[in-house]
Amino acid sequence: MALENDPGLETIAVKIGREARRSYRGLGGTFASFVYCCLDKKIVPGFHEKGLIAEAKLKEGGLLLVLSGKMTETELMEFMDIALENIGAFPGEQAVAKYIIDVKSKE
Amino acid sequence: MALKTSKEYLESVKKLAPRVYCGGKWVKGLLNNKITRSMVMANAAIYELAEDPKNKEIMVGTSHLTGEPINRNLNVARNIHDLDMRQEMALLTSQTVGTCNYRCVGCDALNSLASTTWEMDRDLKTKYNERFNKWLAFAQANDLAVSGAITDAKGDRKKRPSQQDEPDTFVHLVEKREDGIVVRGIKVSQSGAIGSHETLVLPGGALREGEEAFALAFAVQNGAPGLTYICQYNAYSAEREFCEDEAEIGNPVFGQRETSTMVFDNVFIPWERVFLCGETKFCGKMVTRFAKAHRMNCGGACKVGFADLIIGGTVLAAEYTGVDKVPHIQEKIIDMVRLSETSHACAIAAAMRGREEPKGSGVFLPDDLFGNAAKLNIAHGFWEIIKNAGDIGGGLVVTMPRLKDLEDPEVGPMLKKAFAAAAPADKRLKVAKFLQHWSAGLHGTGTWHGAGAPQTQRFMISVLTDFEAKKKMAKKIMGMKEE
Repeated sequence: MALENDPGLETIAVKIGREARRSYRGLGGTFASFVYCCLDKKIVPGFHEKGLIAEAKLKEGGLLLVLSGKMTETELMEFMDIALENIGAFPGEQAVAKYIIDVKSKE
Repeated sequence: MALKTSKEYLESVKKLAPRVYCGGKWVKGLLNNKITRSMVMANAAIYELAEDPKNKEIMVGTSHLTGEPINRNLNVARNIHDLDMRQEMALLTSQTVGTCNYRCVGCDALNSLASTTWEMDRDLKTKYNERFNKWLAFAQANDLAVSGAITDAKGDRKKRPSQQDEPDTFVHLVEKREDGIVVRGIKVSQSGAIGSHETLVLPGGALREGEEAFALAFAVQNGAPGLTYICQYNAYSAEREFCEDEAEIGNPVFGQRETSTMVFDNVFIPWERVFLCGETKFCGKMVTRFAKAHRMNCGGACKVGFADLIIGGTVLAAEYTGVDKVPHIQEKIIDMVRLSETSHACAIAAAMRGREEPKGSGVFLPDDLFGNAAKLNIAHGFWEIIKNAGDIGGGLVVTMPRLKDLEDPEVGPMLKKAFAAAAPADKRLKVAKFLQHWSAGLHGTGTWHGAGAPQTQRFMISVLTDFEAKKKMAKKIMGMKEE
């Protein structure tokens, strides 16, 4: 069965500050969904109001996401946890991440 | 994790933040709103069923992709036994929650997808089945609650999808990108989509050449930006929303049945979640195979579970009123059982006569004729069942005061005097409220239309029945010569 060699999953790491804090596993295309939401719809999954994104841009190997308002690193992590689960990625074991979302708050 | 517990499902729902509108308000937290919570609690009870070892054969299957134990709601039927346990699962679930089996449509949709994507890959050399299997393995590994969205808003029924003045009446393709597609449009009457992790979207019917934009099947995440759920709202919604105590409601925890209108406003679907895009020739097969599975389960098992509850309530009402030994009451109760069990027999027959479709796919689907007979029989029989429940339950079923009024110091004693019979007033009113939930609720029309209105079953039965063979048999017995 092809699944044994390629289960079709992708790992996304969330980086806050200098280090990757947590990894999430989702079906292939999850990162593309997240990027579409942030860049095209200007909405973070799970948070429907506009204006939360101060800046979002693709960078090598991932996405830079700057959130408006002042948030602690813990709050940023909680925010990303909700965002990623709402787009179908769940906390997973540390694995080599295909994509990194670098999250910052504007303030 | 291959099997989620009820508690784990509820924890996962706390993180879900779909855009849900219900009764004039935006819902902040599915568990914080009384109406949406009833739907979530029903789904939690369905997870709980799989935790009980005594339900293992019915509720737990084995993934044909990984060999791991999985919730049967995510199982692809690979043999007759799987089909039989599938319909038993619908029966057990209905008996347990007394409302919609919110994982049911998703289950039947994924069986149709397993069958049809296999055929597409064989005939068109596409990669849909490989893609679908990866999605399914992911859903099974995380034991996701999956709902199904089939019915488009449809607009003017005289017009084809592409002729509609408002194109959004059918879900359609807006843009094809390198990494996925963008879709928009409206699906209606979607049971339990709000509290599901994912929804499988299928075409609403057969499509023709030139209608490629509407030929879509995909999986969408619950919280995908651009997706809005507008909940149904009716007298029962208002009753739950404004009552002092939910224990007074006919089905206190799990409710009537909660559906929503799903509005797709340019929602991105990555290719990994797209299982049909433009292949109009296969839309009819995809929908027919879904209907084949769903008519066995929804018609011949789910509604039979409802009937079991109604019959139980009706027998209690007869006992509490003191009419349980009256011959015509007993006759009516037996009629309720006859109608219900006839449909269940059709579902069992549909499973037993099921077969691999298409040959070589490994996917088993129920017999079409028996499945359609199950649904058509219960569509009519259900009205008869709720009529008898109202008949035996008496006018009290719709004329009763609030249960809470029994506690009022002034009117309580009057009501206790008025409604005590062979049992105290509180017991009689509790059962009357339960029967009100069924006989004056949403389930009559819901049963009529769920899995397709009866005219669709009549059409299928007319296609599937060999009337020429029957005429020939009759002529032979009569001694009439063939012309």
